[in-house]
Amino acid sequence: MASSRLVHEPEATMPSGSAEARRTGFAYQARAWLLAAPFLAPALLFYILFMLVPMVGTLALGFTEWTGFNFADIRFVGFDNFAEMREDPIFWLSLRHNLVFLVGAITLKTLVALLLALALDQRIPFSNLFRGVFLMPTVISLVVVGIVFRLALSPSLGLVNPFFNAIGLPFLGGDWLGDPNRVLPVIILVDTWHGFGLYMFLFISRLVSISPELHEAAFVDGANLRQDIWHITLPLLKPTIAMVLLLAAIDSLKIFAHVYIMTRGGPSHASEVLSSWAYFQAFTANKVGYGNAILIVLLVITFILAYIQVTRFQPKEEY
Amino acid sequence: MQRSKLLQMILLYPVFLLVSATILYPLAWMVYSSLKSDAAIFQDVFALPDSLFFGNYRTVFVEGGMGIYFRNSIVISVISVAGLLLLCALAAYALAQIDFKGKNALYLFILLGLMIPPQALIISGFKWIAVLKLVSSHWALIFTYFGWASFGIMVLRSFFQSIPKEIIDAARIDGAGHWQMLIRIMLPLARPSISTIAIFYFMWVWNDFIYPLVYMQDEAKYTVPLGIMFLNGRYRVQWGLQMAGLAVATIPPLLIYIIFQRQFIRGLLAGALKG
Amino acid sequence: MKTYPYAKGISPTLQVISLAILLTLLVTACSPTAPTQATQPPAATDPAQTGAVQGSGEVSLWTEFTAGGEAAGIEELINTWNGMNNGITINHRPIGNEEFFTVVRTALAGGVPPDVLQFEGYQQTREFAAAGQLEDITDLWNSVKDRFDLADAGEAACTFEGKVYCIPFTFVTGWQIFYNPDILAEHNIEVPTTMEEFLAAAETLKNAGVTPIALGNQAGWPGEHWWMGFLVQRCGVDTVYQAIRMEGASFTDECFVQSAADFQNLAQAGYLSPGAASDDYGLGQAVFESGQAAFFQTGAWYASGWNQPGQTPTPFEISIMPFPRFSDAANQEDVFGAITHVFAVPSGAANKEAALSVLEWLASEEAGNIWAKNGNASVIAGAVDNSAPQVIKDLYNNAKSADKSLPWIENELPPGVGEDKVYNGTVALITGAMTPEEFMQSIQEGLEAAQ
Repeated sequence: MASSRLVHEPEATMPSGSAEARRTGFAYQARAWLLAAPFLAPALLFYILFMLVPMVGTLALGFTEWTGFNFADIRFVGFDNFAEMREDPIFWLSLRHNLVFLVGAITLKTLVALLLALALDQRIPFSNLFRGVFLMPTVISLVVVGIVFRLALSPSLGLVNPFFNAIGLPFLGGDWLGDPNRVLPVIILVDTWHGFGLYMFLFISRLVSISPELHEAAFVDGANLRQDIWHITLPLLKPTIAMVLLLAAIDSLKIFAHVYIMTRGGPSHASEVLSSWAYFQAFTANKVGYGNAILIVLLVITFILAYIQVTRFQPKEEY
Repeated sequence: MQRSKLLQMILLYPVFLLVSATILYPLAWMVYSSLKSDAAIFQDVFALPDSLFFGNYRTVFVEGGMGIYFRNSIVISVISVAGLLLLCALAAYALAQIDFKGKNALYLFILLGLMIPPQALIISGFKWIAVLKLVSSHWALIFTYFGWASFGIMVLRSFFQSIPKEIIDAARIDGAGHWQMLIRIMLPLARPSISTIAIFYFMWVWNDFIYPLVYMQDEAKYTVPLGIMFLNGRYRVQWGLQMAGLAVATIPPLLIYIIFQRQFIRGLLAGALKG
Repeated sequence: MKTYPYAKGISPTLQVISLAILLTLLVTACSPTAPTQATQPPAATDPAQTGAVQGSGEVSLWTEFTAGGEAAGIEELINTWNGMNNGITINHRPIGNEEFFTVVRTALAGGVPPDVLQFEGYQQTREFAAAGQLEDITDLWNSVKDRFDLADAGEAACTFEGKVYCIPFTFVTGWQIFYNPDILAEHNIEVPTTMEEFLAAAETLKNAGVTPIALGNQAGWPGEHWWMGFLVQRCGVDTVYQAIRMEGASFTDECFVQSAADFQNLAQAGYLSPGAASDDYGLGQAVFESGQAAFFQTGAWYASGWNQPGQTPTPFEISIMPFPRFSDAANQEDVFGAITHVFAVPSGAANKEAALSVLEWLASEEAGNIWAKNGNASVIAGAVDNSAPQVIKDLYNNAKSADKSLPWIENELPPGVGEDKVYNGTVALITGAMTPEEFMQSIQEGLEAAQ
């Protein structure tokens, strides 16, 4: 461990005034990179070989026309696929649905996760038990979720409509996944049910590392619970909230499995999203180039969001 | 304080119970449906079984050949998750604690991996696996899952950044280098976050079916989700059998979850004391 | 307190570096395509070998036969072959139908296909063959052609640009409706023989509070089957083909619009199960089998499904009637139904010689009888009559005696048109999102755009 202490030396002993100057120096940077390399290299190796290589291949296919059966038949067509998108009403419809998912998931999923995490953090009796239960849906396979909810929501065999009849609100019943006006909110709800646990996990892992003394000090100063949450807990949670928002945004933009398993994008495109439309184009309509071009659009949108988040909303304070 | 605790309980328990019911009922339904014969399921899909019928489970294990798929899935999941935890911890540490130029650019570059749905990558991915001569090898899957490090890096980086400066400075004064800092200070503190990503990675790897489906051409190399999927015929859905298959497939992730959830809680307590 | 400096943006140096990395990767990702082109083996084997088994070793076989009579049939076929100990063993990999096409596509494109491949003929034959991925077996087909029933339909399913690429295996008819005799008896309804009687029966049932028709049309094809029942009787097979080829007829013609209106009428009159637009096929089937609906229209495969050993029996005796026609329908002869399973050898097969031997055996009387015995409508002449259960015999002979048959229309439309315009259109007819005219218009536009 001697060597690493040595490398660490400059920063630890650096007078704070000259820090900026030293950090921009080439020698300093080279040393920092050398220091970081062994930490980063293993992850980057697999990431590049097994994530980026296929990804770049996929993106490159977005500039081709290809039926997807033989690599010898690939024809580069430049930006033709993107021009075709302008004329494709389903593409625009899907994009709109993605934005609905984005807004819906960010508000609903994050909010449910945050509120339940804060509620569990109050440590009332049985909190541990409830936490265990709340986190369960996230470990269940999506296939199970799809089958159970499709059956439960079915107006022919399901139990949601009979439930509304039983409580005297029959007008609320309907064809949940077959009604073009209901299908998106229903999928957002199911997605929330299945996905809020992940975000709640992340909130809880951060909440517990907040020192209890901070809360006690606040209460001693006469703060009530609301003030404690507002002025102590939430500011400390900010970096986690930022991360969860980014994760929720990415997840809802690339949403595929929930839609595919519940409705296949139907009824007649009423729940179509970009990734399901891309999948249809590439794997059913034999337009691999066009399908992958749609994915490029999706990736660019997501990347812009991530770029804004990472560069603008980085935590300046450490905790 | 005492009164407000009581008030909290009155307000929160109904919410907690409601949420719990919506979570537990579908699971219970899956399990008890798997104990009904198809005829009984058709009578009333949601009714409890009159008598217990274990035929579906016999079919899953005897005809479905689930034993070998289980072994494959466990081997792949364990190696993949262990490897991922290592890769993520190292990379996240560098991104959070070592000060080098271009950190944010590298982080964004890594985030790219989260942004594309997996099924979008299979055409070029399979071609690449074929070029590497890894078709039908479990390594094809394990390496592919190693490529999923973005999520873990994101979570751990965020956690490492949130560790109070005092702790880090104290360790530095004691002469800890980066490796010691990571192993002695950071990782123990990060136990809740590590359990979190372990649970999620295990679940994602265990439940993944698109990569095994395309990369494994040999039935002996199949994983559990593929076995479950092919229990059903093309135009013929056997509900009880399907439920039994799903119940069987759900048990390992649930077990892992319960084990790690303990770790998670222990980590929570440790974190709370130290914080 | 010391803070760490966070870069405000990405430095230009790194932008250049990451771009360079991306470009390098692009090159690496694309270069693997070159070897595939080079290693495409020339079609050297002469397939017209008859008599003794050629080749040896292991033959990998991929099918979508995962359950029921299909799974039992393929298992018996393979056991029989492997029991011959002729130096070739078959290694079977069943793949679920939903995933089948995805797996086959990636395997073909990746250059690692199986030795023998089962698929669904027609459009798929043309796609695979156009990409140079199938072995030309015209000679083999010509040598075994006279062993087949419906040889012309089989040849049509397997032909691309004058060459034959596969052998037909199963014929499935859509021209029937399954019904629950207990429900009909309970409401004093005779089994309908015309569409007028059928609609009257549906009206009676609806008024009695019973769902007349079980339908789970989430995927669009179960509704398409209903629509095709009307299409074939309103227009006839020849007219439909004229519209598909855009020679002398158009989907916007009156008989087409009428057939869509006939289907939409079922939804608007309230005859369909309430989840018709959102239930999947399995749920539609469950509505019928649970005794909650009187009629269920689907392909003949359904008949081989419910009486398999080990299958839980339904609470009533499922019965079959022919798809009823309107007494004033223009066409009283044609039906819809198609070759649904074919076998081929991919050009990239590793063990081609042995694969062709297996293919030839699959075209034999022995194989046909085994396939029929397990409840499948084999197209080998005589196999169904000799070996199949009675219910399959009836359906098969009924279809064989029809004038002409029309395959499921997505198989003859350009890729994506059927699966998008037709499938989504039949859902839209149910939800009311489209009128019959709009439905037909969308098919016509999709067809024209694909030209």
